[in-house]
Amino acid sequence: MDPSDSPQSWRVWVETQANRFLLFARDQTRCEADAQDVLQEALVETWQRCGGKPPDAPLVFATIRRRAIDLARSNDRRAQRELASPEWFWAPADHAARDEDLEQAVKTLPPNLREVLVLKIWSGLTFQEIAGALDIPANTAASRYRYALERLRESLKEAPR
Amino acid sequence: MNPDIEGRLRALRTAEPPEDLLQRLVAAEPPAPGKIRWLRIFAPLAAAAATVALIALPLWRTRHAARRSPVAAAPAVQRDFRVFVPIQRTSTLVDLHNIAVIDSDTSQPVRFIRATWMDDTTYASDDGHSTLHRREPRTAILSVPLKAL
Repeated sequence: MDPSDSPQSWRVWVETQANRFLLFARDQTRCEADAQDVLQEALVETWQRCGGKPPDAPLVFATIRRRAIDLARSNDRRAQRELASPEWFWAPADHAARDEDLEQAVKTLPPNLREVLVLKIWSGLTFQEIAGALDIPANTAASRYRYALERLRESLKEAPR
Repeated sequence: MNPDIEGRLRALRTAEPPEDLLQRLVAAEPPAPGKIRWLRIFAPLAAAAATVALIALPLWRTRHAARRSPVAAAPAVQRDFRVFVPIQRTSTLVDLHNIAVIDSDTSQPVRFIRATWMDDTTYASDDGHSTLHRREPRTAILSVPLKAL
């Protein structure tokens, strides 16, 4: 259900939506501290912009992306992205093992392919919404998604489970 | 080929945010816009009402007491002062001066302006016929949010 369908408190919205926004913030920034700062700024900004109501998810993703770009420009850091830590995913107790090959393959995708994949798979956005969040045409979003899947298939062929 | 790649991707569950981050986010709750609007409207009105009450209440008590007990109010309530209360005020903006624009990475750019008004106030005395007029300059620094530069 879209979070804007029913009135929610800030706390409920944060607790139910933070994981998918955090995943995207991690994707867009160079380290965990930056991801958390960008996430907080984007959540507060979009909440206020919507007059104290839960904003639409594409607006939040677009704001996270813009803030991450601002931060990267102002810091001009050349730090390596922390690929191993923290973990982007977790395995529920009933699953035998984490799909670590796939996780690693996702993390090593080119950023422009990975951001589309993250928004499509783990945030459930449509290509139209992804296009709005990333400021790209919807066709580009769809083709990047296909490229991402192809790259993942190639990577997993090289490293069979 | 791995045709079920999307299924495997969907099976990956996104990690929960760390507890300290959740607490930090919950604590960062923005103030409700309704509360701010209410305060902006009613706080100055409440302050003005309190000021008027402070000035008018002694006058009202004096007059009321005199009306209720004219004997007691006779020579003893003669005062050696008069109270003037403002009955009319006009403010004329006489100068606007741009001071600076503050642009930070974390918030919207804000322009600071120094504004100068000339306040003309007319006061009326409690004796019913005396008035006095005062003209005073007033300066304030105003912040005006700008769209992104």
